[in-house]
Amino acid sequence: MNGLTLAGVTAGYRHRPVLRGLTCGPIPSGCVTALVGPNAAGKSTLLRAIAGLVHAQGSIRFGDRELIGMPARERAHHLAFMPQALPQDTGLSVIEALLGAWRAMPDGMLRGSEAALLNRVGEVLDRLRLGHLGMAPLQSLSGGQRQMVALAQAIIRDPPLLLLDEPTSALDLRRQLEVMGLLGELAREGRTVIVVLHDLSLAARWADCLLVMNQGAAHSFGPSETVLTPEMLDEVYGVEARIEPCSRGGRTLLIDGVSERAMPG
Amino acid sequence: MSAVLSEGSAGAIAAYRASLRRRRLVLGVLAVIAVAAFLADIAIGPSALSAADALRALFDPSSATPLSRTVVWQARLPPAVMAALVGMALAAAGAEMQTILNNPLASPFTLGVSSAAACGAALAIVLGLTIPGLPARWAVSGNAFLFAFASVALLQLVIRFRGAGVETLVLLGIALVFTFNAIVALIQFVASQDALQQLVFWTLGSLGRTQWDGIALVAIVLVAVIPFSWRAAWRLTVLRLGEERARGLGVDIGALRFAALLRISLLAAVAVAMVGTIGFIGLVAPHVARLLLGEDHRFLLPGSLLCGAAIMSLAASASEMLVPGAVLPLGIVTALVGLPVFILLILGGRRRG
Repeated sequence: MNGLTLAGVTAGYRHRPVLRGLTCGPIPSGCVTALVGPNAAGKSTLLRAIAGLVHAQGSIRFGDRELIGMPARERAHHLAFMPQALPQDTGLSVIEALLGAWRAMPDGMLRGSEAALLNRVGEVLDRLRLGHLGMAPLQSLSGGQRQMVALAQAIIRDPPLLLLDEPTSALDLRRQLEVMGLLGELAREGRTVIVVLHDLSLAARWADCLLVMNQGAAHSFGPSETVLTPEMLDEVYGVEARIEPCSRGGRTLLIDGVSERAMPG
Repeated sequence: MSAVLSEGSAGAIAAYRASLRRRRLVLGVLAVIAVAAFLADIAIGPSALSAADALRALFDPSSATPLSRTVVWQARLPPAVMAALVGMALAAAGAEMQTILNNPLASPFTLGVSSAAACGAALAIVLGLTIPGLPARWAVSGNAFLFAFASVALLQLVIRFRGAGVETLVLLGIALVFTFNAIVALIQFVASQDALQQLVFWTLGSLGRTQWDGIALVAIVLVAVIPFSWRAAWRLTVLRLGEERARGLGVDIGALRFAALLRISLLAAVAVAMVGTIGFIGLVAPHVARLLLGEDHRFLLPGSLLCGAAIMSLAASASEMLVPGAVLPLGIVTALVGLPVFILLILGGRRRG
């Protein structure tokens, strides 16, 4: 069981704590969990804290291992983190970026032959339909294509815990659905997939679980049907909304306007 | 999970393999060019010795006249070897600096190594302040090395202690440059005519002072440092995608930058201590290598080494040819000759990209 359990996680930046004793979980393996919440709720910070990129206190347990305090080189074997920022301008080709994601891993130079690794690169390219771009330099790619490369970098190592910060923000509609479908597949294969999503409709439709964050704490966590309610949207986002059954099954989210009550802050 | 690859992916991977072969070939050609430039540097010189005689004295000393043997082995070979080694050291340092500062305009001297070295040299030449116990012949080089290395070590300490990023590093480096320049100006102001001339000549960069023990020192530093650069090649490559991304992939950026700066300061300090400030090589050679070989550091690092050696050897030859009968200071030549080549390369590269 590779669930992720957060207990009393406090994290943030110098003089500015963002997470204040967040407790949640276990976030189960085998499903996609979307991290949602308004701006500055601490979504990215939570992801970065799990990835070990910001200093955190409390307990973050993945399976039977404690991630807080684990050395970076060991942590790299358990998880991959895809930051929100797209890869910067560089002459590296897509294939080189993927090889690098593997080889830069601590002790990665020693693992696997070049031929086996290139085969693995090819599989990931195929899985993300990026084969035709293999030799293109990253600086020649569009934002959406770069985002796909970033995703490919995260999954090439095949880690049991995938942390993705807004992996669909630069993608067109079809690619968004393809990526969410792929994340579902990866989860079904036994991984724990946690993804920050800005788009609530996308989260509600494609994520198995929602973790709603508000002001540095977990507001609610559970299957999206139970978590995504008009009350939550009013309380956390300050909007009046309806969740209506859709004519083709499923549910749609309709936002009617801002709530009457004043928002804190 | 060994599914058959799609046509697109298989094609891309075949193209990647072909690019590996092409880049190995480019490295081979660069090596040939570097060796040829080195031989040209030996064949060309101010004394009346034909190129053929010079090369014969080098490869078959027994058949050459004692005079040409002496000219080649004692006058021409040491500066030629030093030129190639310093070219390698500055180019390797420049390549790593450009990557860790994420700035193509960075060079080994960006963070003040050359200004610090000049300050140390000025103290030795003008005020006679030297490291106790060091032979007089080594006094200026010793001071230059100490100051160059200490300035980067100081920067290291500050960013380590404060946990600051690249911007802070660069700003502190610029502050150091101005501080050392001001101190050098102050020393120049109080210097005697004689000492002033000596100092100016030192800062221009010259191979004239080359001795075999100095060559051995540069060679030892290169041999000691380069394997560590090589080991960091993939981590440096991934850093080209952005710092946050590299950290997300498990690269310890702090440790990587610390080790790279240590290597850079060793290489740059020993180079500047031996031959003075020779600008441009550390900026241009990595650029040329990048244009030819791309940003995979497995190719970029050796490519930079070879380009650095070749460009320095050519510049050294040029320094003996540009003004008949005189050997120009090398620092001037690298700038004069390097600049047009550099501009052409940038414009050519732009057009292609």
